[in-house]
Amino acid sequence: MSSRGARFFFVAPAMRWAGLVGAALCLIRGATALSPLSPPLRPLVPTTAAAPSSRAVGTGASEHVVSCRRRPARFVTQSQAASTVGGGEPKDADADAALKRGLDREFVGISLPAFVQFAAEPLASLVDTMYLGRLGATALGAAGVAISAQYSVSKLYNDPLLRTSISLVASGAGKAQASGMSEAAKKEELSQAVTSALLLATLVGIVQVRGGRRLRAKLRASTACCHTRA
Amino acid sequence: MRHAWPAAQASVYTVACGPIIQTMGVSVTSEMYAPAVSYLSIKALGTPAATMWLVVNGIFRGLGDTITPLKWALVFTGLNALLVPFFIFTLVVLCWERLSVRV
Repeated sequence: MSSRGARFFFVAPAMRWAGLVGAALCLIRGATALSPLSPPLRPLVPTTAAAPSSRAVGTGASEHVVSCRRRPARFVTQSQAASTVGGGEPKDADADAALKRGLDREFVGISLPAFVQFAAEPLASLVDTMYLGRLGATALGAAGVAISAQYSVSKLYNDPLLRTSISLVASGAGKAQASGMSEAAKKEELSQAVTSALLLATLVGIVQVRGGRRLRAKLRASTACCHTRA
Repeated sequence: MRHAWPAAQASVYTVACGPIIQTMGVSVTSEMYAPAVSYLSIKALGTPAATMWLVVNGIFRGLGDTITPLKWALVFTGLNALLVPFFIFTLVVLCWERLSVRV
């Protein structure tokens, strides 16, 4: 294989590193959300009696905003919030523990099938590669280049598509569940989800394009150097 | 607009097939060029379906249901394992032979 043909092998590690960093971030986020050390969940929906007084004080209102940002709103229903606010301290702790257990179960129930699916999909390409290898080295190399090219091109627009569709639907479902939120809070949550998804996708695209360009320039320089020497 | 996405993707791959492969570092003179381009242009036929699958996956995941996509992903993987020998050893080899005769 010529040195030009070997170039795409240098793009793959960059993408792998980006994936590793992303996976590490996801793991850290999940660990902090699920760990017993994280602070107990507070009800997000204030009772109508408590809301004006806390807004008048000022510090209470800002606290409420912070808790809104940090916790997903869809997991707290009105009935849960009412039960936690209505009772004293022990009932509050009980409700928190129950909510936490429910959250854990929901996390595992959503993530386990997705994990198995992510593990199963590369199996299909593995089978492809296995059979392509029987056609010879040229066919396998050509297919490798084509798969890698398609992967990097489709990453640019499929990632935004997947992420925005997930967050749009999830926020819609969340809005339907937690209908106690104000109209402005709903809009804010939706726009935050979409903006972060788009930002992430754009960042991934920029990193890929820039990294690829820089690598290509470097390789071109190195091959030109070799040619002049020869 | 939404329905134009898959079509646009397929056309991107079929039109820009050669340049994409060249960008990945395979020159026109390389013996890998012809099979790589033909592989990518055939694979481009599947991109609309892949995009639909992706978006439907996202919708199901957004609703909190990851079991239905998992079931279908397993079905697709099984189908792929069954059909790939036929596609590669009868269809693709025929195309490839014709292509190499022409080149």
